[in-house]
Amino acid sequence: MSAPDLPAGIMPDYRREIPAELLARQGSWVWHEVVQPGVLRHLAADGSELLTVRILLPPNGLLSASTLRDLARWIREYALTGRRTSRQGFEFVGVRPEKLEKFLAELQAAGFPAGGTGKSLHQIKCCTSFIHCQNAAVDAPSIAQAITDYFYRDFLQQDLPAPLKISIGGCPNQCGGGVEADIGILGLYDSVPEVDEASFLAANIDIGLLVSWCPTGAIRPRQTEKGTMVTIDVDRCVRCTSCVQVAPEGISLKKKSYVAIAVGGHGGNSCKGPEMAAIVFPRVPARPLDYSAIIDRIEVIINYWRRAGKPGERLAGFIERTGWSDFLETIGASPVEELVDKRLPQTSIRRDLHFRY
Amino acid sequence: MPGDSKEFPLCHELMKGRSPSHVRELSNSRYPLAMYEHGLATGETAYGHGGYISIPELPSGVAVRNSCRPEIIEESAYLRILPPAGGWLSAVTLEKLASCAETYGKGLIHLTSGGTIEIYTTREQMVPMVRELNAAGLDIGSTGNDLRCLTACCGPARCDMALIDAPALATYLGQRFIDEQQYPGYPQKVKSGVAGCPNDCIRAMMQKDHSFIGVYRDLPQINNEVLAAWQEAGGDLAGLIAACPAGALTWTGTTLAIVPNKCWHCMACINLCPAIRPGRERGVAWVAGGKYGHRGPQGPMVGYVLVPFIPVKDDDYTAIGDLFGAFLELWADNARKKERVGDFIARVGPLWVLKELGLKVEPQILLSPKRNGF
Amino acid sequence: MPAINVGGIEIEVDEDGFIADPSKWNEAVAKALAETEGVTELTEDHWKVVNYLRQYYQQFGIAPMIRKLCKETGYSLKQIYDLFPSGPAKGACKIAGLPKPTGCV
Ligand code: SF4
Ligand code: SF4
Ligand code: SF4
Ligand code: SF4
Repeated sequence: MSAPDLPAGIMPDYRREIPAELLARQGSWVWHEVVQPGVLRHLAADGSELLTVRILLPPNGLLSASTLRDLARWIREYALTGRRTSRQGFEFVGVRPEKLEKFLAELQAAGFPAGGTGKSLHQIKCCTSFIHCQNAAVDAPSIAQAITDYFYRDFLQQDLPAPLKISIGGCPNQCGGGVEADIGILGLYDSVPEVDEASFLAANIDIGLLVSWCPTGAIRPRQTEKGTMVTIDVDRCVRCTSCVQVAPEGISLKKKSYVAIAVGGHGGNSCKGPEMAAIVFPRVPARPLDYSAIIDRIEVIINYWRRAGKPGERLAGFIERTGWSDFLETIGASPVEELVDKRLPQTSIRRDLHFRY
Repeated sequence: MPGDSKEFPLCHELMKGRSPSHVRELSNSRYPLAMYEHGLATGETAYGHGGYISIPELPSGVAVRNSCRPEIIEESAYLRILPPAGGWLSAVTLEKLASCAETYGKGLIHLTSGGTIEIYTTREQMVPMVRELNAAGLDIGSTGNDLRCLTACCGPARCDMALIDAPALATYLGQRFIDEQQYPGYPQKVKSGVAGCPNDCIRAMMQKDHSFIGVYRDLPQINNEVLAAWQEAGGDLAGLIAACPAGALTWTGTTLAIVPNKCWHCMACINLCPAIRPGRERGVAWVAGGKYGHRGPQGPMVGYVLVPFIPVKDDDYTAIGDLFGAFLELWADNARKKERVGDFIARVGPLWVLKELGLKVEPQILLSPKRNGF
Repeated sequence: MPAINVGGIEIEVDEDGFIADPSKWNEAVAKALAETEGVTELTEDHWKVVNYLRQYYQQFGIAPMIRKLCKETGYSLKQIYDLFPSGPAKGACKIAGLPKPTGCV
C-alpha cells in the first residue's frame, strides 16, 4: 500500500488559523464597541485594541474560488486573520487601523460591503434549497437575496431599535434555522403526501419507523392481501414530510409550496432564555422570483417595530411588552385559528385571565 | 458569464440587485446553472433523493444528490470538511480551499448553516481531493448518522465575554471523538456546539443536539470606579438597572450592587456596561436535545439543561469529554432508529438520563416543582 | 435487470448490485457479490459478520442496527470498514444477501 489509509482522522486545531500575535492576546479583551456599521473595536485591559470588519457575503455562504482568493488577499493585506460567522457572513479580525478607510472603500467597490453589526439587519442566514437540495419546498437563497436587496439600507446603517436577524429554511428540516430568528421564514409544503401502493409494497420499507416518525399519528398501517400498507389521515397530517424522508420509494409529494413567517425567535440567555419564533403569517406565497408578498409582510413587521420599539428592544421583547393581541392586529396577521398549534393546541391557548386588548 | 440572460433569465435577474449575489458566485464556478434555473422556473428543486452512495475508503463526509434533469448533470457530489472550530479561517486555509475546489471540484465552496465547509465535486475526484486536504491538515466527515462537526463561537481570541475557551473545548472533543465523526454508526445524526457564555451566539441550545455553554456561578463583578467613568461618559445607569430581568441590580446612590439570590447569572448587565464583568467561578452547563427540524415526534425544540455547572479548570476538558462520550453511548444504545437526541430525552425523560449516567439532579435544572400528585 | 454469474447460473441483482431474490443466496453467491465490492477473499472475519447479518435478518426480517452488529460480532466500526470498504449497510449487507436498505433520512 503506497497511499496511507483513509480516513486520516484529522481534526484541525483552530489555533492554526490564528497568528501568534493574536493568540498571545487571547483572553485579554475586556470590552467591545461598534465603531461604525460593520466595524467592531475590542479593547484590552492594557488599552490596546483589535479591529474587526464584518462584511456581507452572498446568501447561503456560496463562494467561488476567486472570491475565496479575494478574501485571502484582503486578510494578507489588511488584517491578521478571518472567520466565517455563525450567520454565514465573514469577518476580518485584526484589521490595521491605519488601513481601515482604504479597506472599507475597497470592500465597497468589490461589492462586499461592511455592515450587519449592532442595531442593523444582520446577514440573512439561509439553507441551500434549489441550488443543491432534494427536499426544498421554496428557494431560501433567492428569498434572502430579495430581502437583503430591499432592506439593504438597514444592513449598512444601525438605526433599528435593536439587532434584526432573519433566517430562512427551505423546508420543514429548517437547516437554515427559520425557527430561531427575530424574523423566520419557513418553507412548507401545501399538499399531504401520497402513498403509491405498488411502489410502497415493492420497496422494503420499515413501517415501524415510518409510523413512529409521524408527529401527529396521521400514518396508520393496514393489512392488505399483498402486505402491510399505510394510510395517511389528511386531517391530522401537518405536512412535515417526515414520511417522505423515511420512505421516498413509496410516499411522494406534489410540490406545491408556500412559506410561513414567524417572529420573535431569539437565542442567548440575557433576559429571557432561548425561544423559537412564533408564526404570524402561516401561509404566504413564495413562487420564485415574486417575493413581494413576503417582503410586504416583513416590512409591516419591521416598520411597526421601528416606529414603536424602545431602544435596545429586540422584536421578542417588543412583542412581550406590547402584547400579542396588539401586535397581531397592527401587522394584520392571519386569523387566530390559523395560529394555534395544530399539534399541541394546549400550548397556544391561555390559562389565565391576563387579557390585553 | 456562462449562460447569457436569455438562457437563464431568472438566474440573471438575481444578479441585478444591490447586495452580493449567490448567482454571481455560481456563475463564476462550474456549477450547472441550468439546475438552479430549473428550480426557479418550475418552483421545484431539480435535485432528487440520493440515498445510495458508497465511496470505498470514505465512510463519511461524502454525499451525492440525484438529479431530476440527467441531461444537465447526472448527479451532484460533494465533500464535507470538518471546519476549524470558531469559524476561524486564515488566508492560507482559504487559499487551500480555493485551489482544492478548482483542481478537484467545481470551483465552488459552501459555508453551510450547520458549520461545515462543502466542496462540490464528482465521485472520481473525492479520494484525490481528500488526500490533498489531509496533506493540508484538513479532513472530511459529518454526514449521515454520525457525530456532526463540533462548532463553537469565536472564543477568547476575539471576544471579551468568553467565560471558557469554546473553540478549544470543541477542538478537544473533535479530536477525541474523531472516529465518531468519520464513521457513521449512530441511530441518527448528532450535532454539537460549544458557546463561550450564556449569550450563546451560535444558538447551540436551539440548533444542536448537544451543547456545552460557558457559565459563571459567583456574581458578576462590579467595578464602581469604572462605573463612575462610564456614567461620566454618558452611560445610562437607569437603563442598565431596568435592563436586569431579575431586578437584582440596586443603586445606593453611590454604589451599584447585586442582590445575590436574585441574580439569574445572565449576561444582560455585562453586555451593556464595561464596569460589570462576568464572575470568576467558571464552568459549562450541559444542554441536550435542541433541534431546528420539524421532523420526528417533537419537532423543533430548545434543549434541556441536564447539568447546570461543570467546573472547568486549567483547560482540562477530560471530565467533559467523558460525559460527552458516556451520553453518546447511552443514547446510541437506547434510542430508536432515527431518533434525535431531543426526541429521545423527551421519551425517556431527563431524569432517566441523569440516573443512568450517575449524575446528581441539581435544583437549578428545575423550572418549578410538579403541580400534580403523580 | 443486471445479473451476476455464479458458476454458470445468472443471479439477478438490482441497479445497485443487491441481490433481487434473497432466497437465491448461498456461499458461492456471497463470494461473487464480494468481488463486486472489491473484497477478493472472504476470510473468517468476513464470514463472522456475514453470518451474523443473515441470522439476524432471518429472525427479524430487517438488518440490525450498526451498533448491534458491532457489539454482537465484537468488531469496531472501523474494523468493519476495513473488512467491507463500502461499510456495513452497503458492503456487508449486500454480500450477506440482504435487500437494499431504504430511505435516506
Ligand atoms: S431546510 Fe430543507 S430545503 Fe433547506 S437545505 Fe435543509 S433539507 Fe434542504
Ligand atoms: S407529512 Fe408528517 S404529519 Fe403528514 S403523514 Fe407524513 S409524517 Fe405524518
Ligand atoms: S457566546 Fe459569549 S463568548 Fe462566545 S462569542 Fe458570543 S458573547 Fe462571546
Ligand atoms: S447577571 Fe442578569 S440577573 Fe444578574 S444582575 Fe446582571 S442582568 Fe441582573
